[in-house]
Amino acid sequence: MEKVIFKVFRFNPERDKKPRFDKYEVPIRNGMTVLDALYYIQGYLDGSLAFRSSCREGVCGSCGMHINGKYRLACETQINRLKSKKITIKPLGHLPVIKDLVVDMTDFWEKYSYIKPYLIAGAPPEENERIQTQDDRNKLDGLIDCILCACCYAACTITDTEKNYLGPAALLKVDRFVEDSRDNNKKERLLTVSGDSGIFRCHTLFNCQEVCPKNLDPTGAIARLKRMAISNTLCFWEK
Amino acid sequence: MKKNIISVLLRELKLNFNPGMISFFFHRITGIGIVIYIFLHLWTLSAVVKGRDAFNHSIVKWDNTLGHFFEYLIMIAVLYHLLNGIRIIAADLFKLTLFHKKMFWAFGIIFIVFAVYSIKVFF
Ligand code: FES
Repeated sequence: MEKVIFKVFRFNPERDKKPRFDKYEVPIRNGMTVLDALYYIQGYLDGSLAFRSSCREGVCGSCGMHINGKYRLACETQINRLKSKKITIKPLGHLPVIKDLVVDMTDFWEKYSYIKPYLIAGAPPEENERIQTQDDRNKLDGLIDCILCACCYAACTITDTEKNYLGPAALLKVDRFVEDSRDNNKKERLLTVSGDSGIFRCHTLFNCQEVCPKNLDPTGAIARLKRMAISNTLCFWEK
Repeated sequence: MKKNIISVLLRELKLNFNPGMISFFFHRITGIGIVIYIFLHLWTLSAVVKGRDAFNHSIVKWDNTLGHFFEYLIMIAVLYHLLNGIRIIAADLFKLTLFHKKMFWAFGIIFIVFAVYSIKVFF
């Protein structure tokens, strides 16, 4: 059976002075994912390895990590496709490590809840439900598929240099509600993200777009918000 | 821990080696370079307050191969910063975020053409 070397980031802040990389040799089979390999390591080679996962099928967003040069979902990354005999795994960046590949996502979630990630319609629906035309619904394509894996947050250099920067995932969500015909809080949402730590802090690096495992375009969503905020400031505001 | 901008940029470039990050890296480096140049430039020109001869003397100091080499470096830094700036503004304001890689390569070609042609002009 073919074997691949896994170089895995290890760090326990309670015990270790500094992080290290441990090497493991994992026998691989066709179709095996990086997450499968991590389970193999945990089950057969080193039970102390910590990592997050849940759905194992790219839905829950728990298994984001840095794998061979790029932030990806471990469960969606097939080892064969990496075309390498050596795979290096690091935790998500710009978030404090709790243990090994598990990071403290408090900052990420606080910023996410700050932008009010829910529909604010302002009034009860006229009928039993809030009807949306097909065209209006189509505008949300590419915005509602975010699984909050934080790969974009970790890849964005600005989340490191400016601790208060809301980050691509939260800003993509703002755009998702600004674009939603049923939401009635557009102006306030734009004001919330137009400050120092919002959309204009984005330096258009495209790292978020590059790493998004769902092929979304957070850079494009932030750019759209920038355009709206600019035209709003120039008094071309449309309801 | 205090962060040094260059080491942060290098670390991030290593973690995210893609056209977007590479272009940002050089945008920052050329930006810092241009700011440093502006001060050197003003310092050189400030000799004008000491009279004509002092000014000529100050300018002539750079009229040699090394001076031309520095001028060439400044020219390509400004050219890069300008082209990448246009690329970013175009992506942000004209809904071109999905075409940023194509723009990166297209502007890269323009950059190389100008940079190579300028060798003839500067030396
Ligand atoms: S385990 Fe759910 S996205 Fe990977």
